[in-house]
Amino acid sequence: MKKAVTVIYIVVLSAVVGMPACQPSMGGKVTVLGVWGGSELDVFNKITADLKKTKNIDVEFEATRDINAVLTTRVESGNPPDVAILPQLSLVVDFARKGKLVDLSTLIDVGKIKNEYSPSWIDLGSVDGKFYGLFFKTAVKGLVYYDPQRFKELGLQAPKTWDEMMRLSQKLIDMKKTPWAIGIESGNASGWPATDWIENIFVRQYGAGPYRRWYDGTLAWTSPQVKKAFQMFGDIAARQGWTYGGASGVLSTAFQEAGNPVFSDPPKAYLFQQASFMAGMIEQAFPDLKPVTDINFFVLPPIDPENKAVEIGGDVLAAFSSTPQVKAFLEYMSSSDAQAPFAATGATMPNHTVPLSAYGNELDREFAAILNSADTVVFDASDMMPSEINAAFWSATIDYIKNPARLDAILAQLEKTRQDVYNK
Amino acid sequence: MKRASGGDARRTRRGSRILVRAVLKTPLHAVIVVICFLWLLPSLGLFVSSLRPRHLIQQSGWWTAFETPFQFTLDNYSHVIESSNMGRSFINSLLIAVPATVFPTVIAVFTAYAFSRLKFFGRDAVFLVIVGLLVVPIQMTLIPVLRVFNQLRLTGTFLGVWLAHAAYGLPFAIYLLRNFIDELPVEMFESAQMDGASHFRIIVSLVIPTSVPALASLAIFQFMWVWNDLLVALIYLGGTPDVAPMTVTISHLVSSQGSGWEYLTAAAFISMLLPMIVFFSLQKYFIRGIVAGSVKG
Repeated sequence: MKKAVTVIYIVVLSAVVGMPACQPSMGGKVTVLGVWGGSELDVFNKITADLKKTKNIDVEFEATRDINAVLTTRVESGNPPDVAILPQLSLVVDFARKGKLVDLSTLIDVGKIKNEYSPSWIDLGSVDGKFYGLFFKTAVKGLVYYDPQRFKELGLQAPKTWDEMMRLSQKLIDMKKTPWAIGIESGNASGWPATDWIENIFVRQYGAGPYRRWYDGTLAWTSPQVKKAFQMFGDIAARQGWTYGGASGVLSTAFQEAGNPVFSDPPKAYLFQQASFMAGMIEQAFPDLKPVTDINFFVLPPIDPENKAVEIGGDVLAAFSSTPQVKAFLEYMSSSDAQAPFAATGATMPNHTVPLSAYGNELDREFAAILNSADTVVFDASDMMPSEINAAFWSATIDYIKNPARLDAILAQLEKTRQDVYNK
Repeated sequence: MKRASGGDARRTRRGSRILVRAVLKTPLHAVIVVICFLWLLPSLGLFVSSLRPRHLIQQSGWWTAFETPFQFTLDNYSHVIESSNMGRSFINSLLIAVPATVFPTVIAVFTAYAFSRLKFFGRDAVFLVIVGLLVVPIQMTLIPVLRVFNQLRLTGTFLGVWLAHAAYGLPFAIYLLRNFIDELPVEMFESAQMDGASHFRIIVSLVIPTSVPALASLAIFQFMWVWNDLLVALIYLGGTPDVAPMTVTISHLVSSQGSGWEYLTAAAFISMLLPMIVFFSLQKYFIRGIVAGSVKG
């Protein structure tokens, strides 16, 4: 009996002593599930440490690169995280339509976000008129990296139109050089770099309207538009002598290393298309490169000058619960304070009040400038499509590069997948 | 080597016989060496890569490392070891793997004994169901089990992941051990019973000591599977730093766009270390145990 009294005494005492420590701030925790790792995770841990200091909120981050499977399992079994950081907008759409997500306009101060984000971000993050996805970390897609020194030696200039770019490639062929470095291997997501190519061509040729119909599932894969976009990509990627290593090189080279031939000594190719996050990776692999003088980029040039849209990819925050801690976390993440440290890692941040000086180097600042001045921002189309179609699109590009003559059959197969998914 | 000289013809004959045998076996040895080399080549490449500086790993293949000037470094290893939470997750991995190996092994011995030596109603049917469980894909069970775990508040606890691993490992463990115990001589059990030994006594004093090879190979299998497991840990335990095992923490070394994969080369060897020690220390049992239950006489 005496023992029990002592235990109760200790419990009460520790509760009383423990209370004042957490009084001045909110306390509690937020569980977050995302795909980040490595340097991203380090920065994230740093900024959430600030949140701990100011609001005493613990952020428990769980990372997995297989977010699709893990999150679906967790949601289905009734154990979702408070917040998920999703690399595919299609997941936001999915969970929103299933009623699993919190409409952010009922939770956080959207007025403030509208002041600091351009309207396209709110549109992109909305599903059926409700605001579910808060953009956090983005990358500009459809950039062509090159080595300005080598261009100067050969008397070449960055092209202003698609035709100029094709003529530039032909010129390199005439000089007995290989114009393009392309690599689309990426484990079980192999093919996605090729889908970026096709999407960028599509939106430059037909504009944001048809682009939307394409990822919405209302445009047939067998339509002349989609076929043309595949063919224009094939004119570069599946053409004899135009790519380093030929078709098998394109298929078997990991996307992370695909740009190396452009910057190796001597160069084995001259042009390399990838997203903005690639600049940092190339600079890591070749530490001697100086941004702008040794590595620079141009945006994939316009095809139809009417259609100017910037394609982006990125990570979106979506909330599964609406606690005050989630509100505080999301408002903090949308602020320039939280985004500026990420800018230094080579990510392009959607909050335009993030000062340009926060970016790591001149190239990163230019990426941010492109994003801030864009009239129309479109999201990576394949990442907007339902996962089955996305995966089918990835592997269709592999089949296409292997055997371009089969294009009609490949598109017919994709069209069948689209119909299966939407008629379910 | 002693050469046959003088009149000792017998020794010469024996010497030439050894020589003939050696010559005859040379092709076999050559094939084994070639197969071993091919088998080890990827691991060798991984090992060489793990010792190269980051920018060189990204720029060129590992075989170029043998060209002068040599450039080797331990940076990848120090990065992995110093990266946040690696020490904690090593402890976590042990905390998960040891009980998740011991539980199913112990339970399986008792269960296998029951299936082998006791006669009860529906024994073969139950055994058939357990063997059938061997082919149920683990992914099918994730959502239903996780729902139950949520109700019981087992999600995110070591107890939950021990139970999960034990359950996933048991069908195979029971199957293996039952066949092994079946082979043990009946007389041994009969004489023990005549001496008045209880079932528990028989298991502890007879079955366990005589099944050491089978138990050891089972423990190795189970330990390796749990140590290398990412899926079960990620689903039932989650990736929070205080419970994450090494597999989860290692997967955090790579960023979402795939940069930082060069650290995986070093991480692979670090996480391989303990299973290697376990394997080599139990190896002599393993060789005997790998044929456990395969020959029924």
